[in-house]
Amino acid sequence: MIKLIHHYFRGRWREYYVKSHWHLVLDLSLTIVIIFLIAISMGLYFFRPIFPNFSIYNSPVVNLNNPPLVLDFFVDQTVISQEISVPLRISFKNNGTVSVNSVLINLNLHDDNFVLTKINLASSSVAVKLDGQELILDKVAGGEEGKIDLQVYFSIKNSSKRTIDWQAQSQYNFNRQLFKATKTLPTLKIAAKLNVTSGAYYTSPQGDQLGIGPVSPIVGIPTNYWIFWEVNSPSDFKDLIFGSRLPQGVELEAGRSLLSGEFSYNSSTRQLIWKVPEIKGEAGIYRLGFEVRIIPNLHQLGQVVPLLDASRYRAVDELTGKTVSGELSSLTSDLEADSFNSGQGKVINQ
Amino acid sequence: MKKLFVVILINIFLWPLVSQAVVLKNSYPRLANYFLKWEISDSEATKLAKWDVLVLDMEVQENSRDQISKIRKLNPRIIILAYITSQEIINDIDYYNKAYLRQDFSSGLIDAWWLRDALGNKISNWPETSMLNLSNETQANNLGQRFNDYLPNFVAKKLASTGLWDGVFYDNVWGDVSWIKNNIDINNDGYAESAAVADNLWIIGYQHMLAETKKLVGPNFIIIGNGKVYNGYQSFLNGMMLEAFPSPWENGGTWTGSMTTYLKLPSLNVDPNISVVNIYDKNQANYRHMRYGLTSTLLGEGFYSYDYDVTSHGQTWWYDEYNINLGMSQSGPYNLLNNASTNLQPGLWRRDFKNGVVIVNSTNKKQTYIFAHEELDKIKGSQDKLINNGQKINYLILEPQDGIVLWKRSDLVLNNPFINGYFYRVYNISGQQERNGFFSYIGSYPGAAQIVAAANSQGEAVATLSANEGRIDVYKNNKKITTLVPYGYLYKKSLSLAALIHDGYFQKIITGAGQGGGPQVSVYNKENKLEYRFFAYEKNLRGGVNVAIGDLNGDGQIKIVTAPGPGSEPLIKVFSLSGKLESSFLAYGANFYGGVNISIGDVNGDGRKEIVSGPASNGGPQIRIFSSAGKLIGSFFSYDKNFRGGVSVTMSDINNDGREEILAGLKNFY
Repeated sequence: MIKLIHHYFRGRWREYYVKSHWHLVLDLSLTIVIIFLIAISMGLYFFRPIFPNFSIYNSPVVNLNNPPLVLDFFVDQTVISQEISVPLRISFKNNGTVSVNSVLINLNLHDDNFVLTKINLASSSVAVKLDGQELILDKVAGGEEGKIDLQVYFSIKNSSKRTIDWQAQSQYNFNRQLFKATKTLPTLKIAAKLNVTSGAYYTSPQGDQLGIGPVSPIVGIPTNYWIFWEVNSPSDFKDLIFGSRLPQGVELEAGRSLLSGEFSYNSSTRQLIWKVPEIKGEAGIYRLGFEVRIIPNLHQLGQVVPLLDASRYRAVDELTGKTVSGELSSLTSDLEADSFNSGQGKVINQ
Repeated sequence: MKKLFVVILINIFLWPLVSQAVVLKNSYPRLANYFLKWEISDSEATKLAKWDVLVLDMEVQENSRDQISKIRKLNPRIIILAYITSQEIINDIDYYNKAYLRQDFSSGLIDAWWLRDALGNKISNWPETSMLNLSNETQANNLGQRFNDYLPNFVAKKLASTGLWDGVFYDNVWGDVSWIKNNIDINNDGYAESAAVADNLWIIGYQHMLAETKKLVGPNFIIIGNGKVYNGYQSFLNGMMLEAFPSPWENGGTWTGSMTTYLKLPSLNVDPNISVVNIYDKNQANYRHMRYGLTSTLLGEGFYSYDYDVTSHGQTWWYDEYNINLGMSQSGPYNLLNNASTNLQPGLWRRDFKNGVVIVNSTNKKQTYIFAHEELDKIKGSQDKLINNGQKINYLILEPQDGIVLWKRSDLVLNNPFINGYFYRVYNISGQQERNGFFSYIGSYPGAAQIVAAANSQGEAVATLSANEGRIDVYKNNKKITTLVPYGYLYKKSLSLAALIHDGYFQKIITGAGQGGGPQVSVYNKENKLEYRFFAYEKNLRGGVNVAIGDLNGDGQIKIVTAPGPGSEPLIKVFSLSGKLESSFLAYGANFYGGVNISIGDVNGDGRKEIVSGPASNGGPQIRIFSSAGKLIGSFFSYDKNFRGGVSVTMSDINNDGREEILAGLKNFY
């Protein structure tokens, strides 16, 4: 190396410096400028000035396995209603001394069958900005902790799929590092919807005469109606019990159509019970039809005759194990469900 | 040898007179047409063949002989009677066209046979006719015959001998004659007899005429009279016509009077009893009047006739009620207003038949009647739609002098499979709803199970198959006798089921796997033993196979008909009973993959079974009807055509008309 330098300068001596010493002066000056500039650059590189209120430089050490901001997600309710929204709580704590800014939290669903439609902010101890499915925490100061309560809404494409697997992803920059984390959230199960109807008919929706006797009902003349209980769901249920009571003056006739389950009538209590051990989601409508008879008396002249008291039902959702129950309103000779005869329930005289 | 030859000749000569005894149909209504035109057109003959009894003018024998043959060909059981007046003839008959038999009849009359008054004038009862004297008091002709001999001879030789007729219809069979005129000289002595004497001589002579007729035509040749019923004649007659019912001349002129006469006639007449109740009305569409007569007639055993009036009996009016097969009678008439009394009086009269009931309001008031736990169907007609509207009823409002024919309801499908609890609509081959739909449900079998109820010859269900969750339970008289497991114990899906039935016994039971199973058909014999199996379609298909079985062509050869479940083209196949493919055809477009439900039955009453299909899923509820050769002969939508849930099909003669109705079933009735 020295030989090389020596050889280089001896060459320049013979070529330039011998001819004019100004060449030598120029080379020396340039060399000194270069060395000076290098020295300044190195000085600037290693310079760490301390300014008040300029704390980024206060936490120069970060443990990547234990980031300063800790986020936890809580879902208390894993069985959710058919309206499909769930309360989600996010708790946060900045274990560091330096603020963490612009924390981005994103909720992701695993199944295309579900779509996260919106997030509503219920409450928050920090400033939160919602941008579609994203949640942005502007700043979490060093040592700060708190919680954010959200209501998360989903929509569903195929209601027969009822489990939602989802994740929360968070990311923020800290000390020039991008911190990303993914947490799997508790699986949500959507409570199945059980569609239950009870209706009285004289004429079927396609115009077939089912009942018999006069409509409007006439004093002293029997009129028979058909009552249908229908249950269906895209999901599986078990142990359906559907019950009601015949009002006084209404008699159960022989006409029946029972496609599944068992039907019983206790003439002492006037209680009607329909039990179906299994309801398969893909099986369509489960239906019971039975015929009832009234013979209006003079006291009922001008009145609508009750046909069936309020009905109650319950069944167990196979997936969630939850019992679904409900009550249906009573039925009368006004036949609300019967588009052909609705409103013709008042008893008239012959 | 000569004797034998003579006997043979006599037999040949008398053969037409030794006519076969007529057999009356034992189902109701019984219909008669009093059709007195002298000629019958071809179209009239076709229409007239629908009646059970025809009274045709004797001139038809000469003028329209071929039409009589045609009528008999169309209706071999029809009874055709020759009309002849018993006591009169048209004046100047020789000037009439096509009056061959009357002219022939007239040519044999002698002057002494006219009925005259004390002044010697011919007596007339009807315009342009003159009466003949039926008493024994007239002179004989050169053959030694009086008129009351001449007439029976004419009937025997000119009418009965032709073999065209089943009997003779004597018009104006009166038990008296004095009511026509008060100075009748019945014994031709120039003096008028008293009414009592005249009537008595008339009766004696008339009885002679009837007895002679009976003697000459033989016991099987029917003799019917028309006129006021006189008991003294009835033992010679098979029946009477009660014209203009209730006629003013009959038993007081009331409904009760005429009915009393009508109902007692069978006990007075000789067998077979053929009495006719005739009502006439110039208004063809006076349905109430027509019904009143029909339902009154149905209270007894007679035949009913409804036409224009006494001057024109010659109509082929046909009514909705005539199409009904009420079947055999199951009761006599009883009065609903008087504790089911059978004593005739104005009331609400009912009579029960195997397939229906008739009710007559013979009072002068509108009557309302509530049936106690009984449901009946009104006829679904095209004429009086207010009355025959097809409604299911449990009470009735009947106008005075009106009647109604009602169906008994049957909600049980016999001899073909149905799905327990399904709602079925009832269609004829034209796609018209024959009666109200119904839920076919037997509570003792599982809901949605396939059921076959086998009926015996009396129409009673005596054996049943119930297929559910891969098993078939076989019942005899409501007692389970065995369980068949055609596809193994692990197979718990639905089954398609069909059976060949004879008099309540399962001769063959065939099954097909339901959806999710392969298209395998299993055939069991009458001992419920598996005979064999075969795949009707490519065996890897998993849509199942629907099956039907029966004699398609009426040739005694049993066929198995199959249709695929969802997932393949709608190819219907016909196999021999041994499982050999004989023919196939597409029930719907080749691109339709929703599966096909099938059934077979005789929908048009031609003795051959048609194949009827309905989409199993994903298609409109279009029923298609094919001949056994696969030719499309009809189609219609059985429910809202936008419905896509599939339709189950089966067949049953719900209304006992000899044709099977098409039943289109839905799991959910809307």
